[in-house]
Amino acid sequence: MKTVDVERIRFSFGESWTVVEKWDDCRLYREGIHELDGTKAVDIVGVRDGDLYLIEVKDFRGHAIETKRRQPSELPLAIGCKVRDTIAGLIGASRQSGEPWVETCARLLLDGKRRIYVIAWIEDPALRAAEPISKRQVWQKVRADQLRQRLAWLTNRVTVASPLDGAALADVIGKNLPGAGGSPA
Amino acid sequence: MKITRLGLRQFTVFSDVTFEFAPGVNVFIGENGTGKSHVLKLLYALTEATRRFATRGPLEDGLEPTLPHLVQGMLRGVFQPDDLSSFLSAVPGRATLTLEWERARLEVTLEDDGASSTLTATAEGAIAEVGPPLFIPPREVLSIFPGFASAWLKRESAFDRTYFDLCVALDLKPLRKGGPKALLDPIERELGGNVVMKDGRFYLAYPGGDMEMPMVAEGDRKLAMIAWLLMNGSLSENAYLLWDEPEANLNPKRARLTSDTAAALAHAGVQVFLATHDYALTSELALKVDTGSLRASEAAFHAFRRVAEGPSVVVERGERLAELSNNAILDALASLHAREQEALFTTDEEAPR
Repeated sequence: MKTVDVERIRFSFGESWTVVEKWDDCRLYREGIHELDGTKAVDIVGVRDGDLYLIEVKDFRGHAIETKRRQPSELPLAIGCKVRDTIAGLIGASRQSGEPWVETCARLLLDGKRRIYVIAWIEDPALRAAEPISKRQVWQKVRADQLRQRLAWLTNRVTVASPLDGAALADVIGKNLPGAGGSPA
Repeated sequence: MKITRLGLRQFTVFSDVTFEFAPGVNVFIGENGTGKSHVLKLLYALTEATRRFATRGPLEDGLEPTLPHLVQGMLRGVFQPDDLSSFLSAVPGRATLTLEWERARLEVTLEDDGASSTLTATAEGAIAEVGPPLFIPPREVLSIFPGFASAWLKRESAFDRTYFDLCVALDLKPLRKGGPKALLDPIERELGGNVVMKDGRFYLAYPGGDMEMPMVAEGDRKLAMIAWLLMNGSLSENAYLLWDEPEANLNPKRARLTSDTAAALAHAGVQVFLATHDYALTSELALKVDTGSLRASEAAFHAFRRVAEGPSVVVERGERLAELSNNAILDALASLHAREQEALFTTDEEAPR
């Protein structure tokens, strides 16, 4: 089992995950493509069952104002750009580093038979009004569709995962750490 | 023979647009007033005119079925304009319509000099292979079917001729061998019965007895209409189905059945064109492409969009729904989502844990 902490959430990846790396913290990223101004990165790069996963985590709890202003309109584009830059970074790093996991990711990116999954793990604030779970699930689908629009050039295996829908990211448990979502540390 | 392309120049809201159609299912999306129904009706009118020309089939006026007369008659009957000049983006002006099939081509020119309008039409290629088109409007017609065709011929009806032609198609008796079971069974299962016609009136035959069609729920009548057209062979190989807002009067739960039907018709050789505002239906059709039950080359999504300046409409095409950068249905839902979040999201301190 490998754990990765992002935005005060601890993600525990089960044994089925053969690669789990925190790409935006990784030296190959920091000293690599990140040197180019404006380059972005997804939070986690993973491999499971021979397929590549690019995972971006957004915790909007405790950021009500930011949520209102940014999330619906800008999130798909922001994640789309992070995915784009991550792919470029992984391919570039695989030519420089000799790091086996990077080479694995680069090989999967170039293998048309392998699937590429893009997962946006989004933690939403609670709503003031009571609402049925099914309504949130509709919004999740709408958000996934918007994200899919931005990633149609790469893959259609794009989804929004959240505590509501754990199935999208199998064999992974997300657990809040003290201070998660703006709660007291 | 499949329709491959439609080119419109200076025709209603289209300054210069070319549609490239898929041989299976074509999905039109876009806000109201962007011309989706116009294109469906135009495909219907031009195809039916060409088919009649090839088979020497006159219109109800009994006049010599020349191609220009048939095209003009179909355009007038389907769109019901005051004058042909209504089709032009500007008067005086000239519009050209080019419809292409795999092995045939029709070109129509409409011209108005400010005083009078003229229409010319030429066809070339294997026009005898042009199949029969069927236009299904948003509302069902089974309940108005009795006596509709004769009333329409006596000009006692304000409905356009797509309703008349549909009633003519509905008047055909069921095929002796029955309709395609794979397509019919799911519809009849959903209806809980099957459609019968007695003395020129439609009924839904339930296990407990027959129900007069006007007594049946409107959404069920729409399905019953499709079932009957399958039973009598109107929707069969080589036909073109122009399906305007199939979701009207249907619960979103039935979007799956509608998309199953569209895909199955395409696989049976019918070329399907449908205009929709429905998120569930477009999502179901997109899922069919994404999962391969409709191959990407079999389907196409066409997004109609008004450009910022003026009334002109442009069209974006994608083999997958997600490829469209303009999706009016998704944009509307996302906008609602955004406004709801702004209205209802709490600050962290207020949020219940």
